[in-house]
Amino acid sequence: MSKNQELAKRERGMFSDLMRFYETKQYKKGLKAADTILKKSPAHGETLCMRGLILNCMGKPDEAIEYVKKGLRENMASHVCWHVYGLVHRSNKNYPEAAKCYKQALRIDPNNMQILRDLSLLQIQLRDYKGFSETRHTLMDNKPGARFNWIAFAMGKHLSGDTGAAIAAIDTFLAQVTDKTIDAGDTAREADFAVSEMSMYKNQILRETKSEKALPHLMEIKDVALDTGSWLYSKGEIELSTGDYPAATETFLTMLARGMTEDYKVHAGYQCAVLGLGGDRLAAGLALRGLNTLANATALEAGEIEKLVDGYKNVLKPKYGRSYAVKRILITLLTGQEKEEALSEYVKRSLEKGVPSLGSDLLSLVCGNDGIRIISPKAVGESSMYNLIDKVVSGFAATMEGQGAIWAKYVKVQQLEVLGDYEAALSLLEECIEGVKDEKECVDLRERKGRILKLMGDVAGACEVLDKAREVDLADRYINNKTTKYLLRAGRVEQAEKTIGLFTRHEANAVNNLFEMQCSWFELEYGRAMMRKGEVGKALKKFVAVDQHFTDFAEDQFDFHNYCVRKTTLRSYISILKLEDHIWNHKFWIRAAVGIIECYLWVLDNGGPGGVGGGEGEVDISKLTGAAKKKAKQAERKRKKKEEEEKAKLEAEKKKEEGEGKKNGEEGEGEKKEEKVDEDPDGKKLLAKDAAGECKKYVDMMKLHCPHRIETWIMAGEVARRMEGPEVAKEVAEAAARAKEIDGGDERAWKLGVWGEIKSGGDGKKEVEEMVKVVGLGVTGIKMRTAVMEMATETGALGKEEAGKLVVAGGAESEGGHLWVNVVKAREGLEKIGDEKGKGEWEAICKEKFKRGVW
Amino acid sequence: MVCIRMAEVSDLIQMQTTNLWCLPENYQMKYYFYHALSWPQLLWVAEDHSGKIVGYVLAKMEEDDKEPRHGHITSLAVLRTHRKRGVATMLMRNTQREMAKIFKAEYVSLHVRQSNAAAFHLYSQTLKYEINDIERGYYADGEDAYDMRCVFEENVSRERREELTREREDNERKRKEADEKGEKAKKEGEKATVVDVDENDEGIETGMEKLTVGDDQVQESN
Repeated sequence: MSKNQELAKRERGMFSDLMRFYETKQYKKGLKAADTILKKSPAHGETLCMRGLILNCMGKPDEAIEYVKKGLRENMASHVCWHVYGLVHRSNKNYPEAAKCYKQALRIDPNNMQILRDLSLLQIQLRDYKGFSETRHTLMDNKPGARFNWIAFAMGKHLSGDTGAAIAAIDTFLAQVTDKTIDAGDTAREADFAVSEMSMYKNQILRETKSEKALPHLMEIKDVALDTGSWLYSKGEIELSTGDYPAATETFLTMLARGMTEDYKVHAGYQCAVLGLGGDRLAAGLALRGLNTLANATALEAGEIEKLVDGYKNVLKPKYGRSYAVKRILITLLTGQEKEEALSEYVKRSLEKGVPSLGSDLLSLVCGNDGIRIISPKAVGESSMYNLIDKVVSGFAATMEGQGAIWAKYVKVQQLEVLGDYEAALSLLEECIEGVKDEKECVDLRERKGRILKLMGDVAGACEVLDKAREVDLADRYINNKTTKYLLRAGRVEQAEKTIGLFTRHEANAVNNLFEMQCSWFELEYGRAMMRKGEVGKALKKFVAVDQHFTDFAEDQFDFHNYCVRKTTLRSYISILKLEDHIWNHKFWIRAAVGIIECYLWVLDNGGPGGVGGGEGEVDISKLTGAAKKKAKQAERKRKKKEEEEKAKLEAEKKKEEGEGKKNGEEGEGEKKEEKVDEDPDGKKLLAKDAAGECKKYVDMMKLHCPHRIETWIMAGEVARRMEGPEVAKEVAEAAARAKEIDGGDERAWKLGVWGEIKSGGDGKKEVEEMVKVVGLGVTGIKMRTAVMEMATETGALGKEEAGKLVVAGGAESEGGHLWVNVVKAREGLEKIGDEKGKGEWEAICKEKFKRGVW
Repeated sequence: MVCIRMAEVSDLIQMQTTNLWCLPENYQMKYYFYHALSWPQLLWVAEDHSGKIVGYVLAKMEEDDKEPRHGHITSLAVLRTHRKRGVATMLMRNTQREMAKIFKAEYVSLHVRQSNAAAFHLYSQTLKYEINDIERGYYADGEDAYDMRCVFEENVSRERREELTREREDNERKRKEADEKGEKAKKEGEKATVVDVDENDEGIETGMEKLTVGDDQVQESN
């Protein structure tokens, strides 16, 4: 050690104090101690580093890194300096760099337990399983008496693929827990839990490796396994895979007897056992999710159905007659008169109780569990299940007395909704609402009314209805949220904020609180609402907020790496690690990423961020070319007009609310001062980022985490086609191909295909003409027709009026899905290509079908 | 109808969303992670035909050394659209069973708003909870909470059962006395400082490391 790195005795003592101040978070005292040492030994590396570390904790990262670097330069041979440098990197979430520093520190002090432990946390965070396993090995060698070291070591071996060593380590751990305690201070109960969890973990590894020992081991641990539910399911699974069907049947029956009668996974297991399935069919049966069982989600032979009917009718029904699952599964299995009777019994009970979800429950029997949207209304109406439901429900609507008849009619309302007959649904719904005495019970009916109005294109009307329902039950957050959502759909942002604010903690700033509570659904809706208003910066701000939640979710795991080893809940922990690897493959994040990319595409299409004045989406026209200039001016006029309308609306609402506002206002006042200042409330700075770079960043993340989602490839193609360079044509074509693989009928994928042609030097007319022929057959939906119209104009394959006809001539007949949205988009498309005549005709056609529709 | 099953970690984001659609008491994702990684068998969900989580129960063990070991319902919610089918009851029965079996809880406790008649009915009538105490100003908006308990008979001796009953009666007596003394008015003043304990319970280490010091230095400072 060089001379200037040695401290005098007094300073040495002070350095220990400095350490203690840091550990006990007494930062001011720590700084003082550091300064005193530095007065005497200004070049003392470790003190300089510690000073930096403390500054980092005090939220001064720039100053901090300066001190740390200076300290490290003074004393490169100190493990403390390297450790501190690693800690600062870690707190900046630069994990790879932090790991490098720790490793450097360990080169100097190879058996430093604290640094080894810290390194192991980083390694698992970075999914360096091999490195983690080695580090835990070193730790275990150093302290084999600490039993938790064996747990972490076992996990490291498991994760890095050495399952044999993992099992041996678990055995060592279990052997050490003989005196019913793990560490001093633990209770016998905690030891029992640890033994149970670790035994089940061991069995999980045995099952993963398809070891023959899995079943004998499971039987061995029967008495120590506290988690009976998992124990039984594991047993059933093994018995199925080894073909011991009678035993498997018994096992799943035992699970039902435990009170797990509504767990469809147990039913799926039972059915596999009864049918004696093996191989692919067994794997498929056990992988079923939701309300799916073999009875409704797979093709069965007549003999198989008979076996299942026998099981459900003669074994389960007598025992669990009240179970909804048993009843529902029986309905899907039975035929003829028996089916009708079973359905009738199921429906009758629910009607008597006034179960609001009966309608969607029954309709899901028609459409399977994949939802109603993908089946056409026509196919629904023609299906035998639908007609049976209709027969049974109609019967009750006519014969039941009191509320029962009303709820039966309510089911019929939902049937009409699915068939797309909104007017009839609405008038029958009015009848129901009249008939219900209790206003609170009416909330569900009114919500449905709002929903149907929305489907009919009358979002403003939907808002009114929901707001009324909300006022009937002010304590119900569900109806409050629903109202908020519709207000956002209607573009009434301020009122939406106020409404949802009735349920947030800090009434003065609902939006901040919703961000803190990671309320993604609201932020996504809010972002979309802002998009529709043309306030792209504010929209982007919200999409980025949702993206931030997912970054935080990923960050959250850090604190659990150590915790779970102590808790011994390794089974859950490992599933969390797997979840975290692809947490971005969640619909919320995908929507946020699509939103972010669309915002930056807007920037690219509108001449870059330079002109984005006032965060209001004003475009710098001077930078644009002729055609784009015209477009921008048009958009600008539209935007201003909209803005003025909005202002007037808000003004009116404000006046209305002022009276009510007073009584709510008081509580909010006190908390206002806590608000953090947002330096970029309108997202201006976000919009000014490198748009192409941001697009690429999010597309790459989507490709990595969600390659099976069509949005990924649509976005990839939309971004690529706006870029320049030799790779573009290939990229667009690849994106189009990948999107078509996922959904061959998707209109966005088709558009990308045409763009691929154009980008590779063609004119794209051939593709368009082919699709025009298909449209001519008269079975193409509105979305595709709109897309063909756009591309026909884009490529010059058709004149605008001819192109417009593609949309208009096909009519606005129901095609499933959110029809109104498609109708509106088609109108926008007609406007965009400039076919005024076609637009007029289209409006007339739609007026016929959507009498209440408001453009 | 719905599938009632133990929650998987992939359900947690949906549970958070359902919570935000039902209740004013909300938690960050980390708190859900904390539950799932501590007491995985105490989290149950109700999933509908489309795979949506329409109800959940989030429960934990109170592991404070001072208190006897008991379970606690952190949060229970069912979407308005899925009421009246006993979903909440089924969720509660499942988590209670595991609480008693795996964690050997003596009893399970929960808080419920005094104004929430439907929930109170579920707990007191269907699930046989008893009022253990009333907590003044428990909720952020100042409303009082019933502190309710349900004893797991299989995990308590007769003596312990009697002790718990005495405790409850004591609470009641104290409350009466306090009310009479006009303590209530004073408590009203403190309301603002009462926070939802569930939300603030971090429960896990904060991740702040202890920095290592070479052994020699430690010795020298001694």
